[in-house]
Amino acid sequence: MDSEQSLAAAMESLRAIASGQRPPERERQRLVAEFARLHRRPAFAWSGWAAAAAIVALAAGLALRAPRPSAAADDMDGFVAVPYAAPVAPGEFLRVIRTELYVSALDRMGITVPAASTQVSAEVVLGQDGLPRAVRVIEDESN
Amino acid sequence: MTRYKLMLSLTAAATALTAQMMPPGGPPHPGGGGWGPGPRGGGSRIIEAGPASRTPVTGAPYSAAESTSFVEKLGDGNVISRQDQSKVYRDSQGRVRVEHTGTPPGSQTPQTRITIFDPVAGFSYVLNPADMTAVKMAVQGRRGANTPPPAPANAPQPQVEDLGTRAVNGVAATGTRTTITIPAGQIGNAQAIVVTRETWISTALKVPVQIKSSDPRFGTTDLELTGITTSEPAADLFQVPANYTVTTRGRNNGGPRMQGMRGPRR
Repeated sequence: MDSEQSLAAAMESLRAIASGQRPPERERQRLVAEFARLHRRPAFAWSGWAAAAAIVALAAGLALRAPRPSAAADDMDGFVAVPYAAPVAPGEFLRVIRTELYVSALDRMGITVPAASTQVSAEVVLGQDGLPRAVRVIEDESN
Repeated sequence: MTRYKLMLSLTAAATALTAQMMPPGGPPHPGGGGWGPGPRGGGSRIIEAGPASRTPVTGAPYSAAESTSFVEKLGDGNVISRQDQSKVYRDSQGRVRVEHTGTPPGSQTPQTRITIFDPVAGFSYVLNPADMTAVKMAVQGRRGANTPPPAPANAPQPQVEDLGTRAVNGVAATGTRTTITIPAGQIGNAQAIVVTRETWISTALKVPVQIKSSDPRFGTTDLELTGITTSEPAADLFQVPANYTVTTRGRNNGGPRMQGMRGPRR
């Protein structure tokens, strides 16, 4: 299976996660590892939206895990799932925005960042209901 | 310095859509409720948008109005609320256009952002009608694989309730209610937190026509898709007007990622 096929298969399973059907833990870990491996490739071979969709799907699935996921599992290219967020439906229109967030707002979500300041730059994945599903904090280059 | 310039551009690009991150009356006070952005940037922008499903819904065109209301109760008893409005179009090929209009906090002027998701051409766009600019991004190619649904895990499941089928906003829809309980102490919460979400999906159009969410961390939201018509939208709705300035953007332009970011506390 080439990497693109692996990615396609991973995407299908991740979408199943988003729809509320979760794979066994071993399969989930395999998908996470495959996703991370592909995402680390120097030549970025797939679109931003695909990444966002996968992240959301993974975020939704991971958010529902109990007990909670390990740090390695819930950290995808810097995106962290908002813990215990409700899953998104397949037909939902999702949005990724870039914004400024208070660190206390991240605390409220259940996400901890080692930030020195009180606010950070971040990319946030929103469900169609406007609620956050995943967050990626961006280092401030001026620091 | 580069980052500072970016923040300025973000402020200029503040949209109604991203007002979802910004409660009216300014940004929330740290520790005083709300999860919106801090005061430094004061704005935010959409960078990507599209349907959660990678398989476009074809042969089911529609147009509709989408309204979303947000209500957040603060610790002092105060309430923050706002409404967003959008127009949504999808053609028979599965192309989607969303026109989102709203008034950013601190502004009296409504702003509109348009997103076009075109899986046929393989691109998505974010349009700013105010300055007639558009940002173009590639969309991953489609594959027809249909992996069988994986077996449910043995781990504790959220409570999912099938609400059956009924007419919602004029169309037949199937409903699901999901309840998630965050045990006390999981995210620093003194007591258990109950998150609920009721979703009604049109059986014909495969899109949500009603979503009612309640998450005490963020507030409640009520999304309604109304005025649904199933005629074919005009083709030019899914194209960037010729007089727009289009720039192409890759994904990895957001600067370095912060290390050490983590999920729930242990």
